[in-house]
Amino acid sequence: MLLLAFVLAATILFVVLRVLGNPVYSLISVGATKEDIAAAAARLGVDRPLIVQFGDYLRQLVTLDLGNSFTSGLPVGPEIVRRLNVTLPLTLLSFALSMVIAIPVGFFAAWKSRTWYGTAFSAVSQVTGAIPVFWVGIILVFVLALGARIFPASGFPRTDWSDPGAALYALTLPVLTIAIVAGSELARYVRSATLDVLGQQYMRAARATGQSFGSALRRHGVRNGIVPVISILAIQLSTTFVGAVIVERVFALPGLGDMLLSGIVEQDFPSVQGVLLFSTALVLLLGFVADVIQRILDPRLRASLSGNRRVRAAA
Amino acid sequence: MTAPVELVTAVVARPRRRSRRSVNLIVGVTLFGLIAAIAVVSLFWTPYALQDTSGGRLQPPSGAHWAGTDKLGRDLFSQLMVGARLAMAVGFGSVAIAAVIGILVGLIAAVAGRWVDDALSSLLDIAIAFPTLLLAMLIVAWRGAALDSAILAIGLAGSAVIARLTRVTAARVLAMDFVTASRTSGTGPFRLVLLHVLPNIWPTLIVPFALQFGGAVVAEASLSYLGLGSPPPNASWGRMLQDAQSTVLVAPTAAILPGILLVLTIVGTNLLADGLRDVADPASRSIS
Amino acid sequence: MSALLSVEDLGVDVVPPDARRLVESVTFDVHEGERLGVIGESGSGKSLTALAILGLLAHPLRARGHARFTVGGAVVDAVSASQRRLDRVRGATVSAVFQEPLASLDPLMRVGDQLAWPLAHHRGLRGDALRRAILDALADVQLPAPERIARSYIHEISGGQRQRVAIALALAAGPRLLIADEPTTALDVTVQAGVLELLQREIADRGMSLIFISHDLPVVSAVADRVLVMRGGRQAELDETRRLLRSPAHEYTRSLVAASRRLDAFLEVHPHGR
Repeated sequence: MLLLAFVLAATILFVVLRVLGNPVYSLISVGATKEDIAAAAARLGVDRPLIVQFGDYLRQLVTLDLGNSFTSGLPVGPEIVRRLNVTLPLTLLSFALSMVIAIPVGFFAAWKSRTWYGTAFSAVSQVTGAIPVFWVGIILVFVLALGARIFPASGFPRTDWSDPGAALYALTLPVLTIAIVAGSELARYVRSATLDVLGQQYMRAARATGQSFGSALRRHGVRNGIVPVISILAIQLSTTFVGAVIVERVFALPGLGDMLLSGIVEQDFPSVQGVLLFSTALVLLLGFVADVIQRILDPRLRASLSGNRRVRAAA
Repeated sequence: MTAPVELVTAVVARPRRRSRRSVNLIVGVTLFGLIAAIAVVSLFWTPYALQDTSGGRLQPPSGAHWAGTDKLGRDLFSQLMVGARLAMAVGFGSVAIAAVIGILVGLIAAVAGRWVDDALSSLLDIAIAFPTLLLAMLIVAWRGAALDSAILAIGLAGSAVIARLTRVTAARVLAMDFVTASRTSGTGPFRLVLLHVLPNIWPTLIVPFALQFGGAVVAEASLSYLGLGSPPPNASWGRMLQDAQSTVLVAPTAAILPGILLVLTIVGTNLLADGLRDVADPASRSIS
Repeated sequence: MSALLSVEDLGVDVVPPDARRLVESVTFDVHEGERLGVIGESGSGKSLTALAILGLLAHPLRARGHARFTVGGAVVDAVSASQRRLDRVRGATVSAVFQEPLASLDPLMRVGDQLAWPLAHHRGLRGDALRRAILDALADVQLPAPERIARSYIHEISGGQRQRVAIALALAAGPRLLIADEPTTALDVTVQAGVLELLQREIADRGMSLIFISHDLPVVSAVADRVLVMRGGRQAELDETRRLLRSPAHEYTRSLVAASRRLDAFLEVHPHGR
């Protein structure tokens, strides 16, 4: 199932980039002759029948050969791995921070939902969740980097992670930027899930047997509340990943986002394709894992494969 | 006998509902209307022409230039107004595309047999999980940076959610008694859809449409910020922010105002969506 | 001898700024071994009264008046006592069965595990003794194959079985008073009689008191010694069952009785329906 989805996505990428777009044009310049164009086409292999090209493409994917960049000539695969050094910590740290912010805030907003500060919290999170992430970055840079000079405004240390302190220092503002926006959205989901749980009758029935509020919440509320939140978390991780792509531009970080953007601008198709394939694989994998976890937690979802979808829609 | 929980929600919601409903909807409509009004006005008049670079670079707000100027000397206020127009265009355009494609696919899935339905549903699940921005970047990579690329991409990305919702709602309507009655009296499938299904799924779709509008504005702003949106002199708030970032210490207004307008637009559409949901389905109000 | 439960001028309000009164001036006593029926239509405040007695009203609802439990010399007022104090009263002194077992039981937890807590907490059982107690509790409510039921999730068993589990859960700690809020309303008609019978038997065997809430007068009158009629949040009438049925004082009660009489008359002429 997962594999099928990935193959489908890869096919779509192939169609869009190779068939619909024309990679040849990135290799030639104005005033190229017919021979030049033919030579470029031969170099790329686009003069061969589509089926053959597609076969090659799939074969390369299986061997994880993502080709070489048009601009630098260097292999794409290792480049992606190198850039993950920046993007992966950025994504994971933002994800972690957004959860640290969102779960208490969301829970609090639900618990005190009928008080003025509870409503205020959810109103504020609605606004902060609507702010484009790059603007948050710009404002943070303005206030904390250029204004107060606490953090660096951009860049990632050349020494990479051999000096973890410097690396983390450079990542602080970017992580904060993403966490604020992603955290707000997550907080709203947590609030909604908590409200749902708090109103459930099994909470009341549990208390009628003598359980305290805390005990009932821990024994029944948490697990029931987590289930819908899990699938949201998978989407959150994807969102933080996309946020990282954007934020890398704001803070001039040499990560995957930077690679993608440069690739698009320079028409470096192998790079673009490589990063998009990687992202697709990541998103699909996360969705799959979330599905599995949900199925482990909720016995009602184990019934059948398609019943799963219907139950999930109703749950 | 209503269970106590429902009783509580119903009882407490009833007097509150009137005031709650209007807050969301009123604020939402006001904000949205404001931006839309600016957009409409910009069609007829802006303080300066967009290409006019006579203003002197990076001037702070003044009597002559209400929002100051950018690094090329162009009036910022005019650019902000045109930006509103762009945001509206992107919003409506992408929602229209999402609606057409989404409803079509959703209807097919709802009326088709089990096989087609399951296949389409799996496809939709995957499409929904896939981040909009990445899809947009893919399409821009293919067609080059332009306004229509952005609208197409965002619309396509949004159609998956619409399709899924359409499928569920249409299936529910099709299962209702009055449809069965109509079918037994000989109504063909096309008329069935037009007469019965579409009018009944319409209200449920309005809220996601409104939400998509806000999402589209953010997406386009992000694309423009990254340099993948419509090129100048087409003014996009996202691109204005990209321009302004390098000179933020010198001219902070240029970096702040477009952002504020973005936030107002998005919050406005979100509140509008919430308000519409309150009106259409008061029972869901207690959660949101 | 003082009553097990003494409800005096009990009310349920919505806190300001709404400040509405949903239930007002409810007064009654329940002695050991007594069975009280509470009848009224939807919205009459029956369930809210029950929740108030249990101390489980959620914000923005608030209780007023008194609902005093007297157990072993100690008096606890559910309206004013702290939640911690009430946690000790609930389960051990008073317990409840609600209308919809699918909602009242945890959908993610196996039946046996759900029963484990009250048995462990109130009876101090562990390990093997706990496991045996769980199976005994399930057998006690006449569930066949207790081991299988204990391993099941609630969506894997039938509605009637679920309600029996809910009853077992409520009885686990050995309370003196059971509040049953429409316990059979959500069940299939064929199953209702069995569950009702189980309920009455358990109450009788353990010498417990019962507050039975329903909108169905025939059912209530079969179960209860005394009946409290509620209407619009207020107490309409409180009397012994037989006297209430024969000569109802309040006009609402009269219409209730008349309605069920009509059904009886119909059934007399048409014993099998049509």
